[in-house]
Amino acid sequence: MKTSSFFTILLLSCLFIPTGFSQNDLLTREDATRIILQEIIVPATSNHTITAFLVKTLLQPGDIIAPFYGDLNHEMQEPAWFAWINDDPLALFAHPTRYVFIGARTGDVEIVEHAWWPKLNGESLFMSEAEMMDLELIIYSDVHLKKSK
Amino acid sequence: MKTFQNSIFLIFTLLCLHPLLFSQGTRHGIFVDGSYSPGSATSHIDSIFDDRLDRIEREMARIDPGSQRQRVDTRQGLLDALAGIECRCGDEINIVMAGHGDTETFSFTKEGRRISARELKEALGRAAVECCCKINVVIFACHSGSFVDRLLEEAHVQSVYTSSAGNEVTHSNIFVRDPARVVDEGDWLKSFMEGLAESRPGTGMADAIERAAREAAEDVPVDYREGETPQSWRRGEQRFLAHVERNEGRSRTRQVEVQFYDPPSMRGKIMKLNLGEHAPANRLRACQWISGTALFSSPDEDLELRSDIALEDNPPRIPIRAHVHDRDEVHVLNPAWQYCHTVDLEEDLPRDPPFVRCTWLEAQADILDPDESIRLVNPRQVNQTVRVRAHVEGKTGHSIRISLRSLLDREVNGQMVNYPHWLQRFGYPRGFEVELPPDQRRILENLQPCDNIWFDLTLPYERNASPTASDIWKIHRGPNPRLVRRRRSQ
Repeated sequence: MKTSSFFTILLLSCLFIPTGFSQNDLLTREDATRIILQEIIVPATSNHTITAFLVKTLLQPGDIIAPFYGDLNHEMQEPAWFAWINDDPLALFAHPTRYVFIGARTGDVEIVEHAWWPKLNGESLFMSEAEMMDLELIIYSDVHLKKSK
Repeated sequence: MKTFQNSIFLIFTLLCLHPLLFSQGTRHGIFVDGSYSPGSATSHIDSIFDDRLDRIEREMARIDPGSQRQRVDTRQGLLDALAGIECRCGDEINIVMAGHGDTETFSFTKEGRRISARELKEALGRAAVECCCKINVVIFACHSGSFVDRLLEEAHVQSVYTSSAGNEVTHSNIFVRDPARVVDEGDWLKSFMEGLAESRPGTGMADAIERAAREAAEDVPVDYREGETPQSWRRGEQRFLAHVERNEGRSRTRQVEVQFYDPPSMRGKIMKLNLGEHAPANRLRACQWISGTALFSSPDEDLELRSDIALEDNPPRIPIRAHVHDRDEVHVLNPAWQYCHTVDLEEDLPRDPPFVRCTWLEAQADILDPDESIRLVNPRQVNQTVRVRAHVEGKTGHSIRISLRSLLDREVNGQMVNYPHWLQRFGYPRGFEVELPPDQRRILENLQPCDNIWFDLTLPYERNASPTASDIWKIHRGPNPRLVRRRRSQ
């Protein structure tokens, strides 16, 4: 009885302590936004039009980001924020865009260039009408505008 | 009686031969919708593309009511449509494709499939069952210029028009202005559609397409002009008007190098023209305008003269818009094929009021030499309205103080320029005050220093008049990063 209680507690500790700890330690969406705006796009210094989208929820291990056309898959190994920076938003495809992966535990930033919009687990991201009009999803744009009246 | 019998026989014979004598052949139109947005839902931008293709299809029906037209939106649909055509002598296939593209590929985005330039060429070749079938192809997509050479490998392809070169993107000025409002400020396909609308019924579709593509090439916004150069090629015997750049006629090859004005698909292109026995080369001098008929084969083959050459007394006269560089020099903005060329003003040219540096002129222009010499006729200075991106420095009364930033400056009438340095050279410092008209002033309540805005800035050419702003829009920016605190402990 004592032994089984001990193992139960141990099991629960293994299950919950790291998770609870990591939740407190993960970068928030606001953190990711700040990193993108202050360290990657830097609107004050940008010399071209940009629209940037950031997923609303963390990608989880096993999630796969891939360009609409192409063979390269990015499989998440840890929770990560994913942003798509379209460096020529009024151009048809293919054209320069950046995939930004921000490790939610580490804050490490990886930027990969792709010429097509991203897919998440096989489904296109950021190209539907609802997404293109979602001003929460768009973290920066000097093309798609919010009316200020 | 015998005459009557002969007449009857003649009429009978003509009636029998009617289909052969008067048949125009079958003209097929295939309108290929590659779509913009992935997924099954039709987005606003998809709808805009659909509308453009609808209109182009209607224009073809108007110009050529007897044509047979079909719409396809899948790769297999296109292949099936072509497989269903037996293009014979006198028949014609006209294809208009709109969608995303990559080098030598065109995307059917809804189904996530593509067709390569080689596959399209082969399908066109199979559709052409007789050698005098003619095929014209129009492609609106990024990297569409990469199709030109490949498609011209197929002998039946007479012309190819694309919205950009093989290594370039194609832009479409369609954007979300409000969360629920999509704004369409045009693109190459829209200009092509409008150009097609100017052709009269009965015009050959090949001619109508060529003219429309020329107009679309002229309408590429200045902002994109250096990175978006529509491509065109039409082969066969065609009338031309050209400027002699260099005479190599004394060489064994009997060639002259010419720059074309007509046909429209060739405007601005410089190529070698083999004179053969049609024209004594020593009669031609550099800088003459000449006309005649030539055989246009492919972009990498010299042209062959097929008629006598006529020397033209008058150069082409065209409307231009130019930017005053200094008292004696202007730089051309439009037409696109003359973009950025310098024009030296003649001393006796009327300048009333005196030309102000960096203002814009509208004028007629005689193209004496496409690369060297343009003569302006009746130039007049005009106000200029450009859309600028700016940073708000502060506000006082009915004015805002702004600093100009690089990026998108767009003239209201659709021409786009990207000259923040030009605005600064105009005499304004990097920051200056712009007064808002009464109907725009309420936006002042919402504007704060450090906001980024777009607005239409009107710069009057009169020295003492003040610049004005209108149509102000704040640039969307997500959560303010200054309020964000990183919660992660180290």
